[in-house]
This record gives sequence, C-alpha cells and structure tokens, in this order.
Amino acid sequence: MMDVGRHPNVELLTLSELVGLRGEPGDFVATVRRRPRYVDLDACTACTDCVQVCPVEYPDEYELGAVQRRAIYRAYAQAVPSCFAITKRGKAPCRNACPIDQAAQGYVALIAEGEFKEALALIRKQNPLPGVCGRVCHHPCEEACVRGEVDAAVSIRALKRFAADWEVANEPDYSYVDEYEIERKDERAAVIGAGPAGLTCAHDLALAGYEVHVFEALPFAGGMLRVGIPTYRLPRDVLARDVGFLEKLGVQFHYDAELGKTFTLDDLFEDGYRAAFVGVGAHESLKLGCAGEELEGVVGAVEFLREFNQEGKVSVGKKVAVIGGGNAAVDAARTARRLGADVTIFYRRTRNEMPADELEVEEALREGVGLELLTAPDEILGKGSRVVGMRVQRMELGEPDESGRRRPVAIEGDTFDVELDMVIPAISQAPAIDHLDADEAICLTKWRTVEVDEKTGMTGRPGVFAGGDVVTGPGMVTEAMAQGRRAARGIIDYLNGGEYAVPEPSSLPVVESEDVPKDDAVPTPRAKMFELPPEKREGNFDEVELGLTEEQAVAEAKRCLSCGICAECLECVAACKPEAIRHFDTEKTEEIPVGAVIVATGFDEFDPRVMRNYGYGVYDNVMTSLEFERMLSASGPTQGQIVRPTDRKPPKRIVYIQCVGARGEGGQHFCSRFCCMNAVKDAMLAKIHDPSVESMTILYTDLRAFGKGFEQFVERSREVDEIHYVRGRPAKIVGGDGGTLTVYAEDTLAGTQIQLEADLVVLSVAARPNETTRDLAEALGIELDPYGFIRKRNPDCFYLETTRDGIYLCGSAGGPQVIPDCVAQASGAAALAAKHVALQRVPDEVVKVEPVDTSGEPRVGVFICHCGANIAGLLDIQNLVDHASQLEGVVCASDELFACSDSSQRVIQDAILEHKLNRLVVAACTPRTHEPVFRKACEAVGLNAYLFEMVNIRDQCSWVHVGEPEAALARARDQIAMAAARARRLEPLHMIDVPVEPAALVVGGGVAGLQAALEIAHQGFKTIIVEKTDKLGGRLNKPSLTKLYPTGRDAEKLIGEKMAGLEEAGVEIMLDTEVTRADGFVGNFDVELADPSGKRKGTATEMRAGAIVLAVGAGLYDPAGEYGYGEYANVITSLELEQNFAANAGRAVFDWKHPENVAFIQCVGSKCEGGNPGCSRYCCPTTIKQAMMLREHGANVTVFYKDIRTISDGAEEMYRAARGNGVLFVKIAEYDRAEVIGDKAAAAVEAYDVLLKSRVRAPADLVVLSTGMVPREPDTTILQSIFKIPRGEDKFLMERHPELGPVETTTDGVFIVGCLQAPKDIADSLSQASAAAAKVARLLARDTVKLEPAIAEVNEELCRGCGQCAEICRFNAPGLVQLESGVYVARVNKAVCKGCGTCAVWCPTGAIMARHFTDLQVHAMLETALQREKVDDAQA
Amino acid sequence: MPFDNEKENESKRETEPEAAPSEAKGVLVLGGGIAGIQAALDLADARVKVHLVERGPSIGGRMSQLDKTFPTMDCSI
Repeated sequence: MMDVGRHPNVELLTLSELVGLRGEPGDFVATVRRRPRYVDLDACTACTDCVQVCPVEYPDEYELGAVQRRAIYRAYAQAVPSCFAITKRGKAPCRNACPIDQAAQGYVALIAEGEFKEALALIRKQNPLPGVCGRVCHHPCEEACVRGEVDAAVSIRALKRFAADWEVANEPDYSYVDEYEIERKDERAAVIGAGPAGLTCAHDLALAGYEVHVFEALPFAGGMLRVGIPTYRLPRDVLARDVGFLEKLGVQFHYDAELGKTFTLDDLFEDGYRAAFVGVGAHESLKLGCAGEELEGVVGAVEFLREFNQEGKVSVGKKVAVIGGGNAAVDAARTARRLGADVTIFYRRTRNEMPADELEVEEALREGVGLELLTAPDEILGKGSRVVGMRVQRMELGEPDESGRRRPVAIEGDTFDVELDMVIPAISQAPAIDHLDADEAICLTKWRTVEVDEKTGMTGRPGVFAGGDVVTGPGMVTEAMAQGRRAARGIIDYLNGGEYAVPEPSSLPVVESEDVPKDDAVPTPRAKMFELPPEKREGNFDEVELGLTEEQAVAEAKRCLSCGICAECLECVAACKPEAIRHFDTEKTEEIPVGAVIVATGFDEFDPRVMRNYGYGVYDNVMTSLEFERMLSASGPTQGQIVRPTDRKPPKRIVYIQCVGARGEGGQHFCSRFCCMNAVKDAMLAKIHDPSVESMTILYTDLRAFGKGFEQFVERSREVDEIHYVRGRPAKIVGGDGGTLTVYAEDTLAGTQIQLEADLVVLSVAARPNETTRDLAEALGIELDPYGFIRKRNPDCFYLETTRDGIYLCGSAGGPQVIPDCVAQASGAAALAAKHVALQRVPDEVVKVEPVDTSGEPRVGVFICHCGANIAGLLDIQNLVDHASQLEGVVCASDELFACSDSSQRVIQDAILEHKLNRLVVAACTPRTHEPVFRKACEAVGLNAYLFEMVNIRDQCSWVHVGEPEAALARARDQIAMAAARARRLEPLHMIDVPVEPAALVVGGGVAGLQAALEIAHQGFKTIIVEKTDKLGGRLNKPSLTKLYPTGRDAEKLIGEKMAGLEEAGVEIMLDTEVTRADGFVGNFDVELADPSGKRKGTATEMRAGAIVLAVGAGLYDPAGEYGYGEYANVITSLELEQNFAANAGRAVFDWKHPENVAFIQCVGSKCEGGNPGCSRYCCPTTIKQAMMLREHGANVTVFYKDIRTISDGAEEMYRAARGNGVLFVKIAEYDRAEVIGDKAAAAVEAYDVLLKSRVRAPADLVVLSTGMVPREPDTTILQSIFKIPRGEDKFLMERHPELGPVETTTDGVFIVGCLQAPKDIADSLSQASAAAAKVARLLARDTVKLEPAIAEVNEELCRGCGQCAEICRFNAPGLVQLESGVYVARVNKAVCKGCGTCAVWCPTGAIMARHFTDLQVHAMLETALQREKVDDAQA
Repeated sequence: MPFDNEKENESKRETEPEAAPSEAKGVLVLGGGIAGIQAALDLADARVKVHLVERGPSIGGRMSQLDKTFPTMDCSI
C-alpha cells in the first residue's frame, strides 16, 4: 500500500470515479470525475491540527459508525495518501436561505463544542451586526432548517444572539479584531446612510482595507434599526456595540450630514472620495389613500416610531388604530400600547398572510393589542380637524395576486364604525430621494426607488452605488445588508481592489432534506429564552427576550443535524500551519488516455437488517463480522478490547453465525467464499485477545476451508483454541434481560433443537455487489451477471476477462474472493492489461539524493512505534524513549503513533537530516513486512538502507508477554539497547546490479503452463515452453477431461485456442523435454534441457533464462486398496469416469450398459493423511457436474460427502440444481468413511448419514471415487531440488507468502503456478499463470536486477581451501577455485548466496564473514545484553 | 560463473521503443483495495504507467479494515 503511494509510475487519483470510456483496446480514453478533497495533497503534513479544531462530528465509516470522526479526517492513521480530506454534503439549507450567506451551521457547530469565541469570530467575519440580527432578523435560516422536519427548527437566531451577548461579557474590546490581517489601501470611499445596508457596505470595504467614511442624516447610526425598531426588541446598547465594532475596524462616522442638504455627491468626489454608496433607506410612510387622512391624529408608523425613538416621547391617543400587518405595524402597536393606549391592529387579510414575525404578533396579543382581521379603513372620521373614528370595510379573500397571496376584496355594504382618537397607517414606506432625482445620471424606477446594476449595485452614475430600502423599497434587515454587501463587492471591483476579504458564497449545491439522516435525532424541544412577563412590560421599553444561558445554547446547538457535514466554519484554515486547506475547490473532470482498464472495485457487505429474525439493528449486541473485526483491532474503536455494545463489558459467550446473506439466505444464492475462514480467524483471535471469553460457537452450514492450509487452520481452531462448531442455521435470535441473547437453532448433526445463550452474536455477512458497480458497468460498457457482479466472459475457465476487450477484472468485483485468489487475479489482470501497452514502458526514474555522511562517529536515531495500542497498550513508551536517549551514540529518540504511516516516515526523514543521523533504529513490529518500508524511507534521504536496524518489540514483547507488562518492558529495553549497539557498528552496503537475460522458460505444458507462456510472450518477451510428454494440454486433453463446468464447454477447444495463441505469439515449444539441471540465479539461469524418452535426436541442450515458471501440475491420489478400488472393476475414479464420458459421447457406458445406480464418494485422498491433508478444491464441482451428466440419462446418483465446497463460479448454483434434479446427497461425519459393499463387484455404498441419523445404503452398479490431488512425483521432487524451493506440510511446493505472494517462491526469479502449488481448478490455475506472467515481466522489463549485498564474503588470505563451506551450503554458493599460485580458495557466488551465514559459522579459520551480521556487530549485541545482566547481578 | 560474465548480455537485448513518461499510455486501475493495489504494483514495477482511481479519500479498501488475515495472521496494513 505504501509502495503504491510512492511509486513513480503510479498516479493516484483519490475521490475519483470513472464516468465514461471510449475507444478501443490499446487506445482508450477514460473520463474520470475527480471530487475535491478540500485539502492540498502536497501541502498537507498530516499533523492533525485541523482535527483538533473541527467542530463537526460525523459517524466514522472506517469504524463502521462505532465512533465519531470529525468532518476533516483521514480514514486511519496509516492511510495512503496520508493527506486529510473534508467531507461536504453540500451547502447547508440554513446558509443557502440567508441573504448574506452567513455560515450558520458553522457557528452553531462551534457553539455546540463550547467554542464561543470562535463562533463569534466566524459570525463577525460575515456579519457586522450580530447583536441586531440575533434579535430582529426574520431568520429565513430557521424556515429552511431540516431539523424542523424532526421536531422544530434550531433556534439559529437565538444562537447568534447568544454569541453577541457573549461578546459583551467576554470580549468588550473586540480584541480579536487585532488579529485581522488587513492590507490598507489609499483610496477613500463614502457610505451615505448608517442603516443596515450602509453599515454592511462600510464593514466589507473596511475589511478590504479602504478608508471608509459614513455620512448619516440623523445624530446617531442605525437608521431604521435605531428609529424604527422599538428598544424592547432591540436595545440601544446592542446597536451601539455593533456600530462600535465598525469603529474598531476604523470606519469613521459623520452625523447630522444629510445628502442633498448638507452635502452633495459632487462634493464627495471633489473631496477625493473614489466611490460612494447610497443607502438612505425608506423613511416616509405611504398614504392610505382614503378620506380623512389629513386629519389631526393620523400619524404614519415610521414617523410615529421615529419621533418616539429619537425624542424619547411622542403624543399618543387613548384609543389607537394601527393599519397594516407588517413589522412596522406591530412595532407601532406595541409601542403605543406601552405608552398606555388601547390599541387595535386592522389588517385586510388573515393572520396567515401577515408579513410580521409570527412571534411578534403573538407577543403583541399577549400584551393586550387587539387584532381585527379582514378589515380595511374606508374613511377616517373626524370632528373638526381631529380624528374621532374610522369607518371600517369588511373584506374577504379573492384570487391570488402577483405576490401569490390572496387578494382582499371588499364585501359590498359591510362596514362598521369604530371610535378612535388616533390612526397610525403602517402600510408601507418609500424612500425620500428628491435630491437623487435631481441627479441626471441616476435613474429612478416607477416606484421611486433607485435603479442599479443587478450584479454590482452601481447606479447610472459611475462610482455611485446604492442598496437597501432605497433600491428595493421596504425590506428585511438582512436583505438590506445583502444589498450593502453586493455594492461593496461592486465598489472593490470598480476600484480594482482585487481580493475580497469576506469569503465567497459557497458554490456547492444545496443539501436536499432527504439526504440528511434523521433517524438518530432524538426529539428535543427547542430552547426558549427567558422573557420579561407581559405584566412587567407596560409603561417601559425594557428588552422582552433575555437571551440563552450557556447550557441552553450548547444544548440547542447540539440539535443541529449538520446538513452540510462540513460547516465551513473555516477553523481548519486558521489552524493549518502549512496553509493546505482549500475550501473552495470544485469538482473536475479529466480525460486520461489508457491502453487497458482493470476493474478491481471489490464488494459491499450484505445488509443483515433484511433478515429481521437475526435481530440486527434491533438488538445492540448483534453485530456484523466486520464490526467485530474492527473491535479486535488494536487500532479500532475499542483498542482491541472485546466489549458488548450495551454495557461495554467483555462478553463471555459469543455465537458466530455463518452464511448471513449467502447460499439462499436473504435473497442471495451464491457462496461468499471468504466468510468461513474469516469466522474461524476471528474466533481464534477473540480467544487470544480475551481469555475471559468462555465459549465461542460457530453456527455453520458447510465449512468451506478450501484453500491451501485452510483445513489445517480449522483443525487448529478446534483443537488448540477450542472453538465449538455447530452445524445449523438459526431460526431466530431473541433478546433477553441485560442484553443477553438467545439463539434458537437446529443442530442438524445432533438432530435437536438448541437454544444458545449468548452475550454477543456476530453475523458473518456475505458480500454483495458494490453499490457503484451498476453505474460503473454502464460507464465501461460491460455486462453484469445475474447477481450484479461483473460478468466474466468465460466463467468456466477464466475469471479475468470482462465482456469487453481490453477491460479486465480481478478480486471481488466479479464475485467474492479470498485474499490469496484476489492477489493472484490482480497480478494476472496486470499481465493481461500490460500487453496492450507493452511497447510503452516508461524509463526508470533516477532519483539522485545527497548521501548522508557516514564517515564520522555514529549518530544513532531511535524511534519507538506505538503501533496504535498494539505496543503502547502494554509498554510504557515514554520509558523506552527515555531509555533509548541515554544509550551510547544515540543523538535523538522519539516515538510515533504508527511509524509506518506516511506522516511518521516524513518525521523520521526530517530527523535524519536535522540531526545528521547516520544510523537509524526503529523499534516497532516485524521486519519481515516492514523493514523494506523503513529502508526505502532511509534511502530517499540518502541514508544507506543497511544502516537501518529494526527491533520487533510488538511480536516479541507486547504480544507474547501480554500479562506481564514489566517483564515485557525490560525485554524491550534490552532489545533496543542491543539494536543501538549493533547499529553503531553497521556499515553501508550497496545492491549488486547484475544483467538480466530477457527470456523466460515455462516448465510444463498443461493449461497453466500454456497460459503463462502465452501471457509472457504477449508482453514482448522471448518465451520457451518445455513439456515432458509429446503433447501440450495436460489434463485437458482427451481422454482426461471432456466438459468444463459450469458451462459444459468442450475442454479440448480451450487447449486449441491456447495453442493457436502460442503460435501467433511466437512461443518456442519443446516437447519431450525435461529440465535436468539449473545453475545461476535470478536474471541468469543456465538450464539444461534433456529428452527423457530419447525420442528426440541429439544430446541435452542448454539455455539461459532470466525467469522460470514451473507449471507441472499435480498428481491424483491413487486409491488402490481402498473402497474396493483395484478389487472391483466397477469402482473407478472420477478421472476414469471422465475418460469414459469422453469415449462414449458424454454418456457413461460400463460393462456394455449404461449404469443405473451410481454412488460417488468424496474426499478420497483429500483431508487425510497419506493423501492431501487439505481440500482438493476441484472435486466437489467435478462430482456434481458428472452427477448431472449421469442424471440426464436417468441414472440414480448418490453422493457421499463431508462438506460440499462448491466455491467455483457457478458451482453453488449447479449444486442447487443437482439437488433439485434428484441427486441424493449423504453427509457423513468428518472422520467417518463410506463403505463399499460387494462381492466380486461393488453392489452398494453404505454410510451413516449424520443428517438422517441412520445408516444409508445406496445400491450401486458403479462407484466413483472422487480422488484428491497430491504432488506429482517424481517431478515435484526433482524441481524442488533443482530450484531449492521448500515444500509445505502438504508436500506441495511452497509459495513465498500464502496471501501476498501466491506465485513467488523463496528462490528469486522462479515462480510456481497451478496445482504444483496447491490443488485448484482451471480458472484459478489460469489466474495464477497470468499472475506469474506479470511477475516475470517485472523482472524482464529491466536490463539489470538488483541483488542482496548482505551475503557471505571470503577473506582469501585466511582461507585454506578446505571446501567445508561448499559442502555445508544448501544453495551451492561457495565453491573452490584455484589461484594462479596453485592454491585453492573458496569464492562465493554473490547472486546465489542468501546471506544465511551458515558457512561463516562453519569456517574453521574464520575466513568467511557474513556481511551485515559481522562478528563485531553480533558481539556488540551480546555484550550489551550481558552487561545488563551483570548490572542486575551486582544489584542483587 | 555467470556472474563474472556481466558484459556478455549487453548485446543480446533488443532495443525496445521507449516512450517518454508523459506520452506513454498506461493502464487504468479502478479500485484501490488489495486487488487494485497488487495490479498497480505489478504493472508499475514492470515499468508500465498506472492511473489508480479510488472512490474514497485513501487506498487500502476492505483489507485495511481487517485486523489480521488468515492463515498467516499477519497485520493487514
């Protein structure tokens, strides 16, 4: 994984998807959509500072939701690339609704985290008037709030007010403004009118660095906020604070300066202002337009409120009518009410249509204001010049008008009179702009508002901008602010001011409500502010709403559903020292020319919620296998502790249930292949992790331990780990008291109903097609199989081809696979894809780094890895660091959470350079997997790889000494000291470059060999295939195999295709040829080829090959003497039956007739001593195929089996079909044997059927033994000795690594494929064969190969030529040569030597030294270890 | 001993046309799990340009979530 991230030939495109592919093989163009990461890949150092400040929590997908992560995250510590990413779902609806684009979700999230200062700062960045908006904004954000669909919208406005109130108490001097980085500019701008529009414009211009002067006609700032809104809603000091903030920003205010009276626009420009913003508002009430309006006692609402708010007093009547339904009407009514009047609001529509804030109307009514709906003034009645009453016209609602509201229509003749002494019309306001009308360049609309440019807010006069009510007519506060903001942007553009200081509005699409998960939201009431009780309001203008407490605010903020996920609070931007955050990155589409495509998109887990009887999602203590796996992981959500979700206590009884969503369960019919072994592994791990687990039971149907070594693995779990296996599927799982679960199941072997009590139930969930597979298939133009996995072109023999040429397949995208098969398929697909671009190989990148100086004193650096909790869970890391830093030669010692992670590697590399380290020690996990990682890191900064020393304090200390932390610590201290001592004596070594012979030899002409040869040749390399018989094709030749399952295709045809391919590709074929000897080493094998039969003329030939693929297949178990084989003529093997089919056109003929009763016996020579100890894999599907062929012609077929392992493609379906067709299956016990009954000939097969619980006898005129595979002899033994490849317990040749190196061997350059490695069927053999081709290409694609320099070296002065080293070496590395002087000395073949050191130990004169393990180095380690013991003894 | 005859090989190798890295057409690997990673590495090590496309923010796939793998019980990372 790390390698791929750093490989110069790999371009990693994360967060990307393929959306289209055009062209043809060798010449495709792929269209890839790349979603933004929002963090710069190159700049991010993965320091996690951003995570510390991110306020948004989100369920951690990597931990399957078991814990929460932040919106900015990295999937896991060792993730590649290590760069963080931000999750955004889109623009939050609250933000979208806000006229000024306030990032509401951002400050809500910060308040929820208790980060009040940060919340305030975020608000202030976008909004100069939080105190005002927190009180009087019409809060469209709350209307849009998705939480409203759960219970009630989040009180966003109240939270903003909370932040503003917090500022009063905690930041009275706006000290955070000092941190603003404002680049001052020389230009001056004028803002006319200090209302919300003007103040916002001034704010934005000031932030952009302009000198801003505000001119206000009144003696104070605020405009309508000051003179229109009563103080019980908006106290003066709140407004003053917001204005104070602007003053702090440097905005200068000039009061009593009225445009058109004390100054003109021309004056401003003459005074040097470069631009002006006109935001003078709309301060004149509109007339009612009815008779009597001129009477004394008729006062417009704006004028009424202005006089009161400016003078502090106003004359008010005893009985007052307010006409209108907007906020101005309600404000006027509540003001008059407070001044002692009896007030009624007359409104011409219904309450629903009232534009005033609903809460305001509510409060007004509570305070005793009357409300007459569906009424309009018909005439104001007067006596003399004074108002005495009003004739009121009743209305009804008619058709909707252009605003969408239903138009009020007078009800003819329905009027009534009311007595009054004051009427306050509050129907609307208009701007007072006669002075602007006079300016010829400035145009007005027919509503007498100023006309401006839609985008910039500029009027007809260049440099003059306008916004707010003067442009729109009376509107809401934030709408006016938005206008001020638009004009500020326009002015900055106009003045060429460049960058805009307030963040751009988010360009993301708005989040749809249905995309926001709401299931986990527990209905919680919305926070309610404390209020002044209504009886205390009369006669005063004290603020009614008293704000939220801290507790209330935090609780209210936590109700937010985080619709956008990332709240765009920009805290990460501030925290990120390398400035890597890119919040405004956008999606991009890229076109990439490619020669071929490999699909490796994997699978998804089956969702067990579908199977309701299992209780997943109902009972917390029922979890999936992957969730359980995460719990087992030391870096997982519980740090490796096994706990029940309900009470976090360790479970004593665990039940593991197999086939959840597989083999007919949950609507899926296929077998997922990996679950059986995964369950066995998890069960073993659970027992190891937690000894308090008393019982671990696995409920299974068939145990499909089909892979190499799997059977033995299961055996170990039964015997060593005491895993309890029960054959049966549960009927249901029922929850009981205290989280205990009861599993009701049938034990099908015991034939009883059982109830298992469990503390924890784990569901082994099957695979299902990846959710994106369908779209991907469409984009690629390939087909899917009926399950929705990617369709294989030839499921009977080859898994790697899709239905479109040039597009290949590997891993679980084509159906579930186990890891070793995945890896083999992946390499195979690589070989197939490479042939389309084989002539376009790129030259190796030569990276030159300055080598670290190693000449001086050793300077050792020691790094201790936590390995998550794997090491740090037991060992005191700080103690180790302190200890290490005291050691001789150590100049720096430190610790890392995961030393192998990209970020830690960088830390280590930086340390090498900074501290001039010339030796490095890492105390971590096993060098077997991780030494190469650290060596590469060293080399990248010029430190020779052999100056690195690794200590395994995980496997050797924390894992093995799990109950003894102190002893483990002491041991780790010793090991680190020894490593440091050795490190000081390490010497640089350099890789040995040797040339590579660009030719490959394939040994074995079966189908695997043919495939390997073909794919190597396709990549342009010279290829020779040798076969010891006189014919290519191996077992696929007649009369061995007839038809391929599950398609029934003719096997010989497949061979024909491959052979034609060989010819075309120019592969040299040598029949009747065997390998008799091979010398040399990777890149340069000298192979002797001989003709065993003597048919071919001439003697042995020699050839040189760079790489060798062995593919000689396997033999079949010989059942002689068992089951009557050899004794009864009618007992045959499955291969013999196949040959019989071939000879008789697919219909078996035995003893001149078609057999009527056929019995198959499975596992003959498999899962047994003397044969193959493991599963032979091919036999179950083969038997079923043969049974079907017999059944077709009416034969009665009975199959005696132990487990049916139909794991090949389509085999499970074939098995179901066979059962449906009447093939009888008899399950016998694991250690039982079927018995063949007969006299002279077999007559029946008998066995105890563990399911029927009785002995079953199947009459048979033909018995077929399904024989397992065993290594082919003597071929395997010969090849083993020629190529020095070890054999496993099962006697098959051993691969380098069971999971990650399935075709490599310990001998570099020699590969094994097909049944030589382990039994398998054709498709899996061909995957391996293709994989070997990829491995061969890796070698042959270069002129040279690098060899290990840590090998033996002979000091010829000391050597006396005794030759003992040559005798002892199993690799034939040392040999004697005669010098000119005539004496013999030993010399080591550097390419063959493995550096094991055996010869160095053996050498009687000490002439041989094992490099990298010199006496000096080893002695240093021993002395260090013994020294400590001396100290201990002395202390004792 | 073959190792001592290093020079011999040089003339044998046919010169293959090598494209500049920017022009060379590569292979698109879809999916950054164990299969995708293995395919990408085999190609890249054979000097083939690889574009590895992964839907998520990092590679590693399902296997990176496993604690250990059978039968070796090795760490999966």
